[in-house]
Amino acid sequence: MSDTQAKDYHLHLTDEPDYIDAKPGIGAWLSTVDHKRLGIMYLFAVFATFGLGGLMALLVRLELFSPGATIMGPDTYNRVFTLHGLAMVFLFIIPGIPAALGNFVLPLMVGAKDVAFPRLNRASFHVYLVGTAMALYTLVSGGVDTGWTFYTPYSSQSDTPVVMMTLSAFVLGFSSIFTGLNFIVTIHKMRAPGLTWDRLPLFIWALYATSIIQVMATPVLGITLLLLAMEKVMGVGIFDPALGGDPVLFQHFFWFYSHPAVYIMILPGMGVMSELVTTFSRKKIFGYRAVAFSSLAIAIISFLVWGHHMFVSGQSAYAGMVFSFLTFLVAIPSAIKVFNWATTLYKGSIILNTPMLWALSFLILFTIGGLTGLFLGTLGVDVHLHDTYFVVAHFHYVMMGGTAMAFFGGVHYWWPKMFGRMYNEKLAQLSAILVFIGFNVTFLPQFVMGSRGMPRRYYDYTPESGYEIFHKISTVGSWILLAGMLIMLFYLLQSLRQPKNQRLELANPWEARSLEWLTVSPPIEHNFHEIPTVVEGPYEFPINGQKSEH
Amino acid sequence: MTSTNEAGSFWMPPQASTVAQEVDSLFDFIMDLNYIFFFLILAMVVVFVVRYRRTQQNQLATSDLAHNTFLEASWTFGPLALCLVMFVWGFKLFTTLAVAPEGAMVVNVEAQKWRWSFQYEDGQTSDELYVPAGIPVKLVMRSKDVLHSFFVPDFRVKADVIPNRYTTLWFEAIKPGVHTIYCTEYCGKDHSQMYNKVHVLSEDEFKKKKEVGFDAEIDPVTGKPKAKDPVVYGKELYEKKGCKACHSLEAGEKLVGPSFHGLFGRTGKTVAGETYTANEEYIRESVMTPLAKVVEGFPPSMPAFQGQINDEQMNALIAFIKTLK
Amino acid sequence: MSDFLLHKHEHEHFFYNNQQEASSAKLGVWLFLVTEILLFSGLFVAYTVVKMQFPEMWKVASAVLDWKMGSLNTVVLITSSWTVALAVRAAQTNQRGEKNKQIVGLLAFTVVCAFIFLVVKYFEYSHKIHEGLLWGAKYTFPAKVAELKEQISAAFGASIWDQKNVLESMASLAKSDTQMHLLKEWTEFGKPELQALLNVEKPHLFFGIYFLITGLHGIHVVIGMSLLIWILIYSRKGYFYKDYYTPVELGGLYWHLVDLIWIYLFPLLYLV
Repeated sequence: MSDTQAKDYHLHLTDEPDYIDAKPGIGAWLSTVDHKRLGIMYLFAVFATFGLGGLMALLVRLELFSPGATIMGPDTYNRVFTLHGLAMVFLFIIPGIPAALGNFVLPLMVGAKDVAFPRLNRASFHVYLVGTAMALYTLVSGGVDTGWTFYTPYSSQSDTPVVMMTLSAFVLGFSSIFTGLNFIVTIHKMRAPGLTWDRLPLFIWALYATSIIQVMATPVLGITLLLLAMEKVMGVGIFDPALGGDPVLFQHFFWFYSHPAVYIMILPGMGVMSELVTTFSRKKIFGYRAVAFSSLAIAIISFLVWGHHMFVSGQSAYAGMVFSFLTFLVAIPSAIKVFNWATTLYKGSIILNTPMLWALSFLILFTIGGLTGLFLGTLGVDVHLHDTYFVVAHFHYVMMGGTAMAFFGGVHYWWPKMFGRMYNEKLAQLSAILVFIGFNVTFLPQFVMGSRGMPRRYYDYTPESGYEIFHKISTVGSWILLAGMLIMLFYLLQSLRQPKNQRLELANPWEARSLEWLTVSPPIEHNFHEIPTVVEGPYEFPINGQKSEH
Repeated sequence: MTSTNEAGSFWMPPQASTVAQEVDSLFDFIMDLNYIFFFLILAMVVVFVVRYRRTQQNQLATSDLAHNTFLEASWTFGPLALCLVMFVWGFKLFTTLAVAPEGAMVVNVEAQKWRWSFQYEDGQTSDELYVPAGIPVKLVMRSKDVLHSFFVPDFRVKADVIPNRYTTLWFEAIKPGVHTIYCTEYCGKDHSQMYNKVHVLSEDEFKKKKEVGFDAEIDPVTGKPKAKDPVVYGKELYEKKGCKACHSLEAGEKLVGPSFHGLFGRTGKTVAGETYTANEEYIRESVMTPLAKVVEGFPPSMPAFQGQINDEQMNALIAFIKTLK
Repeated sequence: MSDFLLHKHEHEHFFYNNQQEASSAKLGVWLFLVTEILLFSGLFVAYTVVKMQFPEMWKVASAVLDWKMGSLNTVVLITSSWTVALAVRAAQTNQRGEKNKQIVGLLAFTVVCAFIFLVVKYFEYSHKIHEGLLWGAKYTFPAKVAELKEQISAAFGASIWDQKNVLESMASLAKSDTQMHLLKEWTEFGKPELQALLNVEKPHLFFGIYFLITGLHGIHVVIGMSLLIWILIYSRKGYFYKDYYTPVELGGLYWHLVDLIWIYLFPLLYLV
């Protein structure tokens, strides 16, 4: 898309109001089918659930600051860490990038006026609200204390509101399925003319792979949770050994979904990475095909590795061997991506503004997370590390150091497009740096604690164990994280209180090349007056020697 | 680069079993790979970001390099080869960890909320694990209720303990010492309090301990089992046998079961409507077959201790309870 | 100008044309069907695992299911799939609304078949409930048998159990209402397939899975019925014709899935 063509129509100012001003009123927002409004509402919702999960994390870390009871007793602690996991996994990360950023950006990026099924999209959001309400209800009805993984027989015997919580996750699963289904059909059927598969931005490839997993894995979680609920309510007996059931069977069912689920979490983040790294080094991605296909490869292989959560569960060594081998296979596509992103920087023109800071955070932290996963995929070593803080550190590096960083990067990247305003750049850079530092201070010590034997989900530890210093450092890190996040909350809200900028001003502040930047900011309700025709790939940045036009 | 020795390292606790050294070698290898690749990526990022930062002169990219077959092949097949090495090495190590040598000494382990108990080949039981050094020991484990997991960091061994069948692990401790046992599968309120210890004794010491009785205390002067003050011993048992988790010592404080305060001599009603008096006989019956006379207003949750508490221990507990007025 | 009802369809504004809209809808429904298959597959896995753990029990317990009723249901569902396919064809060739009645009729027949399926299921379920063949703690069959036996001893004398053919003896002796009632009950409870249940371990696991799978399937039959009724109402008004028959096609597709799941379920539960 040459810039002269761009100037012709999308930035053509009309009197048509943008999607925020069109159809005002809270009723209009709650009943909207506009993908942009739904995306914004999801955005606010996931920030709130991140806050809830984050608050739980701060409480956990506060309790672990010193041995013995610090601020709460073990029963409360067990509920707090369970809610931390459930809120972060089901209410924040899984919907996160696809629902908040994907909903807003995807139709714009493929040159469509909306997703294929806007009413289904609305249903997805409403179902998310219902599921969230159900989950919050368990907070006031005693709180669940099983850990987010609901292992039987503890969960089938617990008298906490496990049934309500599992049904809430069941309901949330529908929200996830609807979103995935919508995205697949939109990407297949509603691309603008000329937008062939090999010209798709990599964010779309990532969302496509994610959606495939969402559609195929979530129903299995659905039936697992239904079976657990039925076990408790009807006493069927397939998981409870007292009734002749097998508790390890639950683990197989549960991880068959939950392992692909972690790729639902990271793939969209990887998609955002590709956009950020290219835009802010003004350079085309290195190895487009490799990055695109690696997303699909990850999606497919992710279904085959669930047993690596169960190496010491009593499953056979033969099964362990197969799962370990496949786990190493799934590591390779991720490694390819990391090398490709780093190589993209070569001979680019790199600016370290906020979205790029988040992207570089991702690159470094995801690398650590991925590399430490190698320990856990290795059978003989996993025996020692399983269920210790080493695992906790590993998954926080990939889920938070990876996905959450990419999420925040994407939020800052598309902020001007979504709201027609910019945030305070200096404060934003400060926040990104504080979060990076705070994150490492929180989680690096956890690797050491873990390999030295500190088990996870522990309310307490003894002074003689030697773990205290690591816990203290980790807790201080959580406070640095808090500071960074509070600053972010402040300047983002502040930016919303400003009046909107002139529509053209922020249409393409980053000089990016994908279709969403060829509309005004914020976009009009129907996205495009005329659907553009695409003539080249999404990363065709001019290189030195060619005249550039802004 | 990384090399763990017997005393442990920055990453690892001391190596107290024969297999620990093997585990640490593989761990160190993977850690070395971690360092190498991490610093490689970090270097790429830092060098490129500095060298190609946006300046007046460097407003645009100076290359649209999108492919390099050599690089792409290297970073696909290189890591793949390294992964295969880790996989094979890890699997071999795993089979070593999983298969106990012939003739290993067997100890039965029982896990429950929230304590461990151990039973030896000669039928003796103990609350903490005693093993001889230099001899392979195989643990055959089962849970009485929910999932638990037996973990000794110093030995580098771990296995989940499940309620419907047996799981096993084995180790050979190198030399005498004491090592922590953790439960490492979340099991509820006192999951983090399920500490225990494995006492590694020299072969001779172990034989002696076995004869005397694992739970007995030896008087260092006479070399004979110490006579225990019943009340003190009773209090020890109150904690070690797990009564503490459900029975408070505070007056009127209801945990899962009734408080022991003022228990002795108390009368009341059972769930079946009968009257009971908490005398020696009643207390003994409630410990051995607790579901016989459950106190009204309490759940039938108490596990049975038949076979786990001998006469001496029973008397000690009763003596202790008598003092709680 | 025809005198048939015909409601011209206008595609949504974010699609370019009817074809794009129709093919998007089709892809969407196929994806949804994939999720349904995966949902049921979890139950089939549970079935397999429990069956492999308790093969003897499984054989005995599945012999209790009435294969005749199951076969009837299979025929009913297959017929309904055929009629719904005919309805789709009719909509596809509906030029001016002249086939509206045909579409409605075929859809109505399909719905009636679905209803028959549910009625048969109702009878099956009520038998099980009466016999105490339910899940988990609700598996009260042994207790019911014991109670019945006591009542029979009381009504006929305890020596009835020493007779060679208990049922025949009871039949010849039965005079009072109570005795006739007990005879009827024992005809049911005394069947060898049911009595065999008393000798296997944990039969409640089979019935738990039976009710879970057929229950979830039954819910989908109800959902499918509702969908078809909705489509039926709109076809009466002439909404579906050759340029727009997507809902009929996709509703039919959903119904085929419901049928397909039963076709897997029936032999696995009833015939194995």
